[in-house]
Amino acid sequence: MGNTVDIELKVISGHREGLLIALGEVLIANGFALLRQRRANFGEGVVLAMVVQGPEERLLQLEEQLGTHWMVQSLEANPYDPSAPPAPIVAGITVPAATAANGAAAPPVAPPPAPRAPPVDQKRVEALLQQIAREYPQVFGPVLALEHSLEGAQREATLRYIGGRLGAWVYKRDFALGGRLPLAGSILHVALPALRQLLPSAHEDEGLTTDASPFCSPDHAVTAPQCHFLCGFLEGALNQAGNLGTVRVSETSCRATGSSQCKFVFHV
Amino acid sequence: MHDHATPFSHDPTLVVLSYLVSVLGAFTALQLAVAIPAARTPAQRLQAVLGAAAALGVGAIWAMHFIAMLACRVDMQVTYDLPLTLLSAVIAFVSCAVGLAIVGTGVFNWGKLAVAGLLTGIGVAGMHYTGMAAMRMPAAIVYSPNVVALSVVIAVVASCAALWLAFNLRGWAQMLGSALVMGVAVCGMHYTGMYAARFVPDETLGTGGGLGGQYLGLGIFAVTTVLLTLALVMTMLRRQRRADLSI
Repeated sequence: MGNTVDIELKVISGHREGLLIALGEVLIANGFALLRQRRANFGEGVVLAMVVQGPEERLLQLEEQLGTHWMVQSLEANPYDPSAPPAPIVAGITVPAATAANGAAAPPVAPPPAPRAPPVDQKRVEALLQQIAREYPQVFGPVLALEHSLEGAQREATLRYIGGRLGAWVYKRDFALGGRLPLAGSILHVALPALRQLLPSAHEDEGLTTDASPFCSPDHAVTAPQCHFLCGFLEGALNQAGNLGTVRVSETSCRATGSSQCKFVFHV
Repeated sequence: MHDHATPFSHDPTLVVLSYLVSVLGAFTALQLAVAIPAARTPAQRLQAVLGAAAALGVGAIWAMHFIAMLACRVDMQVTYDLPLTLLSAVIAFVSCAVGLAIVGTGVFNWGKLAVAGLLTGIGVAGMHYTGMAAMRMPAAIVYSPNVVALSVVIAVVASCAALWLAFNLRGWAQMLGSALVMGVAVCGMHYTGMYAARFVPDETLGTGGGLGGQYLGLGIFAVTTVLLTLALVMTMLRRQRRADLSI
């Protein structure tokens, strides 16, 4: 029987309805109990503060699942101090490094900007996920069809979420058996071969590159990277390992913005 | 040096068979071993460690050794001391269990790999020389120290390589490559160790109380059958699990 920990979670979401139920399911699935919760609305979103208790060995997995949940824009996790007065809920956006479980003070890490718009209807997303699982690795047709039907505000969150679910599934299917690798080894032996199942890719300067992303259309005049699905895919694959903390992937260059290749870098 | 040593040779067919058995045992063992990091409870971890150690120590190492000893043609009757034969299996099992537990726990790193490779390699060598000590025949075995040391180095280095492949890579290179390299570790160590040995006739020694080769053959057959069955069952179960995995 392992140790139990009390953790205070602060979640920022664009969804006011159904958030607590959705996150509660994640808590229960990881063996955590909700001790107390507070919420405050702001603009069109909500800040939810929860104190949860559960097994220490499942904490990293819980943080990963909550951090990549489609309803969550931002997650902050800290050890719960019952003697401290309740802090006012503020809409700050920081995602800490994965050391909250041992209580060590970790400097807040600013991740790549999280998507703020709510994703599309969940039923449609689930149907798409089942389709791409059946047709894997031929996934780009259905995903691109969905992408074209989405508004700009929905596109990043939805594609990132779908990519994350697919990446986690691919990891469980093809890469779960073996040693727990550090980040560099995971990029080389998990992320790169996983990405190569979808399109030609290379390892370069501790990141991954490709010049074959189907999300980079030269016809669109854009100023921001477009390969949200691939970012989510790589995040999903590495976060499923469970030993790296919360991995975030950002696209530092994209062919859609005029670069010669798309490059993905990894942050823990 | 030892000009009156009894010459010996090896049956090529059984030599090849010994390599195949070591690869089969290593494949089965490493299929179990790569599940160690994924174990969710101490009981699961222990089950995976012990299963992998049994397949590697008893299957790949012990069975390979005695097939190779059956392949060894020496012009005298040879039997095998039962307690020492069993001890040799225990040595292989325990050293492999500790090594696999170390390399399969926590985040993979070079330090763990070195310790695990060392333990596994020593297990291979320890099993071999204990198995050699179990031989009952009218001859004494004399070893060349330098070649013995080389045999141990071969076992350790190849074990490290096999464990690196098994725990660091994924896919076919992981599974098949690690098994083939571990087979090289076991067979390379054994045949180098045999090259280090000289059988010097000594009429004061005898074959009394030992097991004949036919009993060993039966034991090896049983172990090999269990290994093959286990490998097939695991492959089928994992294929089914992979197909059933929902997104």
